[in-house]
Amino acid sequence: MYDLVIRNGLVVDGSGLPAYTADVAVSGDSIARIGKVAERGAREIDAEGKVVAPGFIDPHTHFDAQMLWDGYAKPALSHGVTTIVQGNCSLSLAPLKPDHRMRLVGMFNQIEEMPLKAFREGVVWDWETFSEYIARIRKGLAINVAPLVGHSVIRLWVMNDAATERTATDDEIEEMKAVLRECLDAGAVGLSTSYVDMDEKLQPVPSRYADAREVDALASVLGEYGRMLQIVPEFYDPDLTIARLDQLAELSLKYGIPTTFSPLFVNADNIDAVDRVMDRVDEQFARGARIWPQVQTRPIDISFCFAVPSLLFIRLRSWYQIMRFGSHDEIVGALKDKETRAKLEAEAGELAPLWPTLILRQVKTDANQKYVGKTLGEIAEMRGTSPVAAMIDLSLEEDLQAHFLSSSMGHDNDEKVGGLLKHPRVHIGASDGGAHILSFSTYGDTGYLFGHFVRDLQAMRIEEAVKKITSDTASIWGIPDRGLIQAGMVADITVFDPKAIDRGAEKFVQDVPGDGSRYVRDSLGVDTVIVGGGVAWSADKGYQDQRGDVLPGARAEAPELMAAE
Amino acid sequence: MSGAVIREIEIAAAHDGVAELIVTLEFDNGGRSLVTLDEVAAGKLLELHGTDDPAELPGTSWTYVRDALAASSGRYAAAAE
Amino acid sequence: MAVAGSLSTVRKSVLPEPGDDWASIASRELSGSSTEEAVANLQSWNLHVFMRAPAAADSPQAGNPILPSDVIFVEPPAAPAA
Repeated sequence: MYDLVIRNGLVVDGSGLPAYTADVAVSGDSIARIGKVAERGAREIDAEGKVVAPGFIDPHTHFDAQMLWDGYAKPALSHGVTTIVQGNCSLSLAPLKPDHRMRLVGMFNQIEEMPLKAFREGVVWDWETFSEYIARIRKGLAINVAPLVGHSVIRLWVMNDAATERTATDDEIEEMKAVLRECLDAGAVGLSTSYVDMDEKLQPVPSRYADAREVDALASVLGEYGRMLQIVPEFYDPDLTIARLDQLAELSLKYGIPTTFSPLFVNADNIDAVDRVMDRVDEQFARGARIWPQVQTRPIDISFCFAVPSLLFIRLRSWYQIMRFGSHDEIVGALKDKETRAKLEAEAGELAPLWPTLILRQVKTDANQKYVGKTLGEIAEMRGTSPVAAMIDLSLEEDLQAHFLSSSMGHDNDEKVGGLLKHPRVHIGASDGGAHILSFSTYGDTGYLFGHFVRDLQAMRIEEAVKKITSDTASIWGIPDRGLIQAGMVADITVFDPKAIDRGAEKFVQDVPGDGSRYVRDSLGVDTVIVGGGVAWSADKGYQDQRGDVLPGARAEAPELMAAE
Repeated sequence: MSGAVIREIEIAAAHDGVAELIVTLEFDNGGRSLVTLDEVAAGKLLELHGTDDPAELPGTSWTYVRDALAASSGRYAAAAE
Repeated sequence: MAVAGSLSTVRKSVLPEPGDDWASIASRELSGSSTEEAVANLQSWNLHVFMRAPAAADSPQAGNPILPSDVIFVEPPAAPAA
């Protein structure tokens, strides 16, 4: 008897080859047989009409803190994600000396928007080294974690306050190399660094004080292990991005390492920029370098509330004046004043098409909860008023804490983004899972990939899309035994309905330690998620087995070096 | 002296889900670059021009953008003094 | 490892040398211009350098916004293709 048999599913095996109907049998943590399986399983899953795919791998997340209290990385796992890469953008939670905890919390607070209270109430600081952190998160681990170690924290560990003051000495660089080796030996999947990120006071993170000599030295250690270097380039400028990817290419060629940069956005104001960047990527790949740009699937939304000035209103001079210079009471007073309100409503006519499309995403009062998730057009109809009047009224009723969202305001050119997502040298990623938790949901990008680009637009075949987020990702990151439905592979499997898979509506929930809240999305159309042969989540029973592992793990061999001799 | 000027401004969605101002600079050779300003920096840019109308920005010097970015980025340092 | 394939020309940039500031980069990379003009040009081509807080007054980096990791362009963006 097998431990688990998934019957009659459409196997999309992660290789990109055409799907086929088969049963998939699991023994222990591995796929035992694919085909017609006569034997029964201790647990059976009927996958008739559903896709049986390798578990999805998300290469750009910031779950480092969440993993301390939530080994499922909720709700990422319920979306079919079975492996996350955390520790991106130069920031990991280890190695970390006690004296540096609050400095790092400040950086995480800026990047993840993880409230200080969550760290205070959700974190027992019982680790210092990378291996101690890994041992800590192994407890209750349900999702697989491939942890990057952050350049900024290595720098902080070795240089203390000088990490944000100067370049490193030769001795300090040697010490950083030794620390990086320790982290890689303890299970790190690579090193992350950043040329963009800042702390909560807009001070550059420590990695930005490193010169090229230091980065080269650390890359040489990655070369010993054949491991990944991830960077955040100045993604807002194509010339800067190209300069950074040229640096990456030289390191990739010199030390035989894979590299990746994230994010690469389609910018509506400079639509050709992404072509210039991809042309350079192609040229560098042709030289033998590996520099994988990461492209996210979801468009970027803009959110705002009247308590904080938003540039969305900059062309509406009266609105912007009030929002920018008014105190809370002055803004409330202006919105209540009949004459001012009439002026504002008249001026809002300049952006008439925008208002009915705005979505109410968060309120404080019970009375207005019924409107959450609806557009201002819908709310206006329910209230018998105009969308602009509804926006003002709701803002007053919520003491300016009514939050609105203008969806798909960036990275929303479907033709361009779809073309990138299927490009052979683009790495689908950059979800930022676990980050920006108070601004928007970073979950459900895989559902959006299948729902929007595969099903609705038919921009990609389902086999292509699955391959991009499973076996391609595993290959790029050197993660063995995952990413394919094949006998002998580890049984990380996602069963989903191709007609229904999508991301659910964004919602604001209170599930962060310290009474903290965050935006999330439920999964739609995902049936069962299997990690290491155990059912980690199913639509009918929720979160279950905890068989997650730290990857690349013991089975990984350092990929053969490609470096120039 | 660089004669770069602000050519266009647009509102766009920033990576972190807020609106940002994209300023296109045009240089003497016709080359263009984009600079992104957050809400505080954009506000400083208007202040430095002495206007509340973003339509007045095109045609003005790049130095306003530099000074707005510097003033905005230094806001925490200034508060600490 | 043999490196095949050629690279097209991209916008010229440099990485800062130890102790570099605007004036030292200007004198090294734009020696044909006056320091004032060269610094102004460099700054206009590198506004990303102004997108972060200045270093604290007691920091060795004080007064110099250029970080060791910065890419510094030494020419303007390419002119549009004719």
